Order: sequence, then structure tokens, then C-alpha cells
Amino acid sequence: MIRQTTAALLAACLFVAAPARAQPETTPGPAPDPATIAAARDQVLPVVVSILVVREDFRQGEPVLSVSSGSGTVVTPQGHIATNAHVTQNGKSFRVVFADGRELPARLVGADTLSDLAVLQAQPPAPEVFAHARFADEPDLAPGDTVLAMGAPWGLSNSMSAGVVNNPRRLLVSLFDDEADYEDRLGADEPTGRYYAWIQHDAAIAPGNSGGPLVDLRGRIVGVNTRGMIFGGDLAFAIPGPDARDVVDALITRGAIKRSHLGFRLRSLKGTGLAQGVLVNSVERGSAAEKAGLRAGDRILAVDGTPVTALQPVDVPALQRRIAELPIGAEVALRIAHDGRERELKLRTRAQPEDRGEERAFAPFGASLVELTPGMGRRRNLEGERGLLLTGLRPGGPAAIARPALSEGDLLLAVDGQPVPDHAALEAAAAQPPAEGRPRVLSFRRGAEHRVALLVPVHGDQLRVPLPELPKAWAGVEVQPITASLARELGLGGAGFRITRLYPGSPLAAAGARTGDLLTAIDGVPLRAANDSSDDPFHQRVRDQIVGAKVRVEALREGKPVAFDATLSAAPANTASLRSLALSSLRIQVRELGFYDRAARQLPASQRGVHVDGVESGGPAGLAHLQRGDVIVRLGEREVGDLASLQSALDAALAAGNGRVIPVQVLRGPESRILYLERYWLTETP
Amino acid sequence: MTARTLALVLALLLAAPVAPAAVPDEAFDDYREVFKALGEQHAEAIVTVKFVMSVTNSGNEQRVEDRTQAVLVSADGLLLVPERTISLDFSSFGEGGQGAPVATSRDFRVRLADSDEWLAADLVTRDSALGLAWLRMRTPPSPLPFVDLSDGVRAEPGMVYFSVLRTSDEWGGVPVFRPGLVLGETHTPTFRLLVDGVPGLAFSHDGKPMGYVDVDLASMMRSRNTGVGMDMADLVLRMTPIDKVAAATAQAARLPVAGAD
Repeated sequence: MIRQTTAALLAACLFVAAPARAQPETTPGPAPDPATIAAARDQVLPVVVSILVVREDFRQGEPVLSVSSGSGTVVTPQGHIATNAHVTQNGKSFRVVFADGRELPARLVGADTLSDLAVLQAQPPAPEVFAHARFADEPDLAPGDTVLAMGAPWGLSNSMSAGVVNNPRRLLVSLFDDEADYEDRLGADEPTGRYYAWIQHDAAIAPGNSGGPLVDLRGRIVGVNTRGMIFGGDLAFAIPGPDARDVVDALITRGAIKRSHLGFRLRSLKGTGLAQGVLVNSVERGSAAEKAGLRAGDRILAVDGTPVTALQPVDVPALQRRIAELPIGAEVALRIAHDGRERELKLRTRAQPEDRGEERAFAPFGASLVELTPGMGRRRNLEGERGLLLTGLRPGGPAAIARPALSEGDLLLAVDGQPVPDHAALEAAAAQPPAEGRPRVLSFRRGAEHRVALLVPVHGDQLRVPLPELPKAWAGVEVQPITASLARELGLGGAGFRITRLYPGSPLAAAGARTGDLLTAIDGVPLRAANDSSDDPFHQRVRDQIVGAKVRVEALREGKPVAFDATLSAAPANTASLRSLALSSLRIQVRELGFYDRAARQLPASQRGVHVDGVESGGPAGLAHLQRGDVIVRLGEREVGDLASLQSALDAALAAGNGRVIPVQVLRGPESRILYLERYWLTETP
Repeated sequence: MTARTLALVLALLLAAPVAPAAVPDEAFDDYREVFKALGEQHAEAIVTVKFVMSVTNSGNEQRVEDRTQAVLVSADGLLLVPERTISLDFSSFGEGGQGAPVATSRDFRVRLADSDEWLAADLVTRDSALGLAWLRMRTPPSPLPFVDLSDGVRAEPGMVYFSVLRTSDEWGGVPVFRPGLVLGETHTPTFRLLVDGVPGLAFSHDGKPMGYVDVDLASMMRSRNTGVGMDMADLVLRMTPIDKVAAATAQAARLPVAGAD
């Protein structure tokens, strides 16, 4: 999965606007020996895996499952797989597919959004030793070096492309950008790239390559492909291998990366005319740096006695990282230049706050919320607050119709007086229905204001009622309009509506009508076609009758007059009138099979089944490749005839517990197909 | 406005002669009396309804909250609304055929005149041929003002009609009135009056219901690309005669809310 950030897009646009200045110079050497490429390929490609992720995102206040894919490399004998954090982000379940086609479930060992790296571990049925590749130990790439990108672009596994390194230390700051805005553009709550410059190369990558290795001709992992560009040609970016190795090792050992924080950001000396030190770009309110007297505009000359200098923007990430890697709680001495004088400040490092809190949906409120971390609070002028930030609302849901209505960006502080700093607190305060359906009193912040709202929670499933119609008269035929002039040309002997389809057992069928008969009048009133295409005048004439009315329909059959005495029946239920069900265990929306479904598919009137109206791509039905429009006729060992039997067939199949998969038989177009539900999808996906 | 433009406007104003009244006050006939009478008779029966319409596409449901005008047609809280707000079949627009999505609505809430509360309502039934649907308030305060549809008048081409609407709370939830004209009638595909004006229940000058005016979305979509021929004849609203509206409403009034059985 390749994430196209705003920064990348902006940079791409700039490259398009000024290609001559923006494109780095490359110095390609002689074409590498094919045998050398093959040797490097064979060291890594067999241990490159495709990663299938079932993601849970939130849309309109509700969780939505989808499937995405990325790439990774086995890097330990224990089956640890290095990939990108944005590949595993919001992942609820993972499967890895090896080069030989073997597919294994995997667990998330750890993820570090600031480096955009994550580690999965394959879960084989029995312990085994995995073949693996190795990271490069030193950042020794130079422009023009040949590199190989491996992975699964667009989900096409075992793919490899070759290119050269364009720039081994690339920051996405173009000649026209203000470097001070760089971090902000990387992602407000997850500023990937703060600590690492990327390798820019031109080995072709595409969405799906994310997390895959960049390999040099010695067969070393010199980078982890992280992002590419849709615009601007083959421009790709990879996290340097030695940096990735350190993060991956730490994730395997500790499951997380802990970093120190002093509360300031840096920028290079570029454009200042100065030659020593690094500028303080901003200082956070209330941070250790501010308390020690550091101010934006100061210049840091040394950290713990070691001189530091960043002449160009690309020098800054390494300095940021050096500070982040100081021990948490340690005292650090900064030599700074302030108003032309040098002095020393002593600060104590703190643990870097989480950039983004956990997001969840809370169904009784019809909203999705994220726990506000100190970092998020600082960026939103909500410093010191603890609460749940609204990220989405279900239209018409309780939060959306609260009085006053809540909106995205509101910070929920308390429910009925109980503070809700996290999801657990909200569950404790509001998971159970309030007594006598009373509304809950919500305290929240909107900008700088503290507000209150009344909210009536909804507990339990949303009911889906059919949309019934008043009964309308029906003759049971489809017709083609025949205008007077068309009738003359065709030699039909009169205008009217020609029967094109006769439903078995319908009123006109019972009265003896046949396909091809030309209907000319009802109860003596002529039937007139308005044009060559609209059959509405016939159907409206029928609908204007009363259900059960006896009518005399005049017609021409092979030019000779005939008449049918028909008793009009009530029209079959149309699609919207049918009962529907949202089956949360399968993540599908289904409805009864109706008369018009059978008619459209030319199925017999006795055909039973359940029509699939919608499939959530990452849910069990989506993973089994069910499609909208399928008719489920059998699940497990049971026939499926209606909504109730679908539910009971699913319950029975799960209770039976025999076999890894549950077969599902569907009608799709003219075919009957068998699909397979993996049993664990029903138990492991959310 | 630039100084030059301002000067030009001032010059034109000064140059314009003071026009004498072309029509004496006593001879001028406007709608004030009609509006006043309609307001007294029916304004309280015109209410606002909010609802959530959802469309499922590729398994993902998209929802949007919307608002429409409704008419109270019984003292116990039966409401008449346009059917397009309840169910919208995109296949009728010629897009996607059988596989086209169907938008459906739920979570109906009613705001009565002079109230700031949104009260729950449920769907009773609908009539797609007439383009009408009926909701019933869950706990109606009684008795409610309503329009008696059985006491209507027949609309004919050339007649003027009046619509009563209620603004949103942004504008204070006040009644507004719109005149319309019956432009013609058709029997294709069935009998309808062709009118200009706005959707909603149409009243005669003396407050009798004449019919229900609405837009035919499917027809409008079919004829949306008229090209440079500028054939404007089909750019009309349709009015369902009041006898058909009243008969369907009488049927709906006898039904429970949808799903109650």
C-alpha cells in the first residue's frame, strides 16, 4: 500500500512545474551484469511476502471494514516480517502470502508511525525456521547505484523492478517550500519522516509495494519502500535500510519505540548566513524547553557538549533523532546562542507523547471518537484537556440530532457528569441504556467554549423496516408501445400495446392472452401509445383500476380481434417493499427474493433464496467474494429460502464446527457458484 | 461599487421622472386577503419533517440527513409527504437498470408549528404511482390541526392555486405562500394537471385543497438534455387531482405503521 500524502503530491506538482530544477542529477554507471542482478534477486525475492490486511476505518461515525494489501520481507528465522506502519495501520487481521504461494496468518508485533515501520510475525501451524534477508549495516548508497524494488504492486505478488538511486538523502522539501512547514505537511497527527531522510530512487513501484524491500546488488536490504508518486514519473522513496534495521530490531525486542521529547522543533541554517548550530523553529507551550528559557529563534550550538550543525534541511532529521534517542528522564545540556550571547540551558527529557490516540465507534451515540493525546491536544489548542475527540457522526444518529447537535472536532469531556478521558470511561458511563430512556447530558468543548448537550442514546440494532406500498392493480404482462404510425408500417392492424412477456399465472395469462397479442382497449376505452418507447400509459391505465376489478381487454391476434375477461390482481411487491436484514456477522445487507428479482433473472416462480444487496469488502462475505446481486440459496448444510433461514443456516454451520470452511452456494447471472467462508473470518474479524 | 458606477446610478436616479401611480389602490387586487385566509386556515397543518436517506453502494451505506415539507391530514398525526423522500429508485432514472441502488429513508422527525421539538414519526405506506407517502407521528399531541382532503375542489387549466410552505428554523419556522398556475392537463400516461409553482399541497383561493403538486424526477432526468432546441414545454410540475390524493390517504389512514405487523 502506498500512501500518497499531501507532501508527496505537492512535491510531485512542483516537479512537474519545474522539472529541470527539481530533478536530481544522476550518474548511471555501466549496466550491471545480469548474473549479479540474479544473485541479488535470489537472496531476497524468495522471502518477500504479500500482506493482506483487513482494515477497520471509520466513516460517518461507524466502523467500515475493507481489504488492503502491502509487501514485506522476512528478516528473522522466527518469521518476523518488516513492513510499513501504514500497511498495518487500523489492521484487524493479517495474512501473509509467501513467494511459493503458501499463506499464513500473522500477528502484529509492533508499529512505529514516526518511522512508518512495523513488524508482523508469521504464525505457522508448527514451529519452523524461516529463510530471511538481511538489512545493510551502513548507509553507503550513492546516486546512480543500481537498486531492485520487490513486492506486490497492485497486489501482483513476486514482482521486481530495477532502477538507480537518485538521491540517498532526500527530504520532501523542494526549492520552493518553507522547511518549517515540512512536518505539518507530513500528517498532522503522525508526522512520519521527522527523524529520517528517504532514499529517492526510480525503480518502479506502485500501491501494494509499500513495506517491500529495496535491495542493492549485494543482496542487502538497503531500504524499505514507503511512498511513491502518481505524478512525476518513477519517483519512489524508501526508508534507509540501516535506520529501518534499528527500528525493526527495537520493535521485535520491545514491541514499541520509546523516544524522548524536549518540546521544540528545529530548522536548518539555510538562508541565515550562519555556519554553526541549528535554529529552534518552535517551542511548545509548557514544555521543558520553554520552562528552561529556550525561545523560537535561538540557535543550538551543542548538545551535551557535542557541537551540532544543520546547514541544510536534510541535516535536520538526524539531529531531531539524536535528541529523540536521548534516555527518557535524562538531563541534557544545550549550548545556545540567544540575542548574540551564548549560554547553557539544562533540560530534563520526557517520554514523547503518543501522536494519535485510539479511535473507536460508540454505537449508542452514533459517533466515532479518538482519545485525545497531549500531542493532539497541543495541535488543537486543547492543551491540558482529556477527552474524546469526535471524528465522525452517523447522519440522523443520536449525536447528530442531539440538542444541540454535536459535530466533528468537538471534544467530549463528560457524560452525565462523569469524565470520559478514554474509551473505557465512556463505556463505563454510557454503555448501558439510561433509566426510563432519559437523555444524557454531555459536556463538550467546541473550540474555546465549554458547552452542554442533551443526547438520547440508541441501544441495539437499527431496525430496517420495509417500505410498503398501497396495493395497485396488475395485469401481469410486459408490453411494447405500438403507435398508430408504427402499426401501419408493421401492418399490425391497429395501435396499442403488444405483449412482450406474459407472467405465468397472471390475470391476463389466466384469461388466455399470449405473447405477441396487441392490446387495444380496456373496458372499451382505447389504449394509446404516446411514443415508441414508453409503456407507462398501459401500466398506468391498469393501475388506475381497483384491485380485483373485472376488466375486458380487447386485443388483436394475428390481425383478428380477440377479448380477454381478466380479474386484476394486486401487483407483486417491488424491491423497496421487501424486507431486508443487515447481517452483522457476515457484514452484508440482504433482502427477500422478490417477484421482480425472479423475473429479471428468468428464474422459476418457485425459486427461493436471499438477495444480496450490499457486501462490505473487508467483512467475511466480502472476503469470500460474495457480490451485490448474488442470490444465496444454500449455506453450509442447509437450504436458504428466506431471511430467517439464512440466519439459522449460519448459526447451524458455526455450531457444527466441522471443517475449516463453510460453503455458500449462490446464483450469479446464469450460473450457480460455490464460494467459501473461512470459519475464522466469522470469529476474528470485528 | 466603484465611484464611477455610483455616479452613473445617481445620475440615472435624478434623471428619472417621478412616475404617477398607474393603477389606483382600490383597483389593484393582490394576494393579501388570500394569504391571510390561508394562514388562518392551514398554516398550522404545514410542518417540517427531517429524515435520513441512505444509499448502499458496494456494501457501504452512505447516509445524508434531509428535510421536506409535510401536511398534517388527520387529527391523530397522519402526515402526507412526497414519496421521493421515502424511496428513490435510481433505475427509474435510467442509470444502472436492475443493479441501480435504491435510496431509502428512516429516522423521521416532525417539527410542528410553533414548537422547537422534533417528534418521532414512522412510515405508514407509500404510493409510487401517485408519488405520495404517509407518516404517522408516534406520540402526537392532540388534537392536531389538519387539512381535510375530502373537502377539495377540482383543478382545471387556467386556475390559480396557492401553496403553503413552512420555512426552516433558520428563518423562524414561519409560513410562506406561493401562487401557482394550472397550465394544462394530460391523460398520458394518466390524468394529471400540469402546473408551475412549487411542490406541496395546492389550495384554491378560498382554502380548499386542489391537488398535490410535485416534480416528476424520472421524467425530468429523462428530458434533462434538451440541447439548444430549448423545448420548454415539458418543464412543468405535475398536480395529482385531490380526489385521488384523498382516496389514497383514506386507505393509508387505515393502515398500521410499516413493520408493525
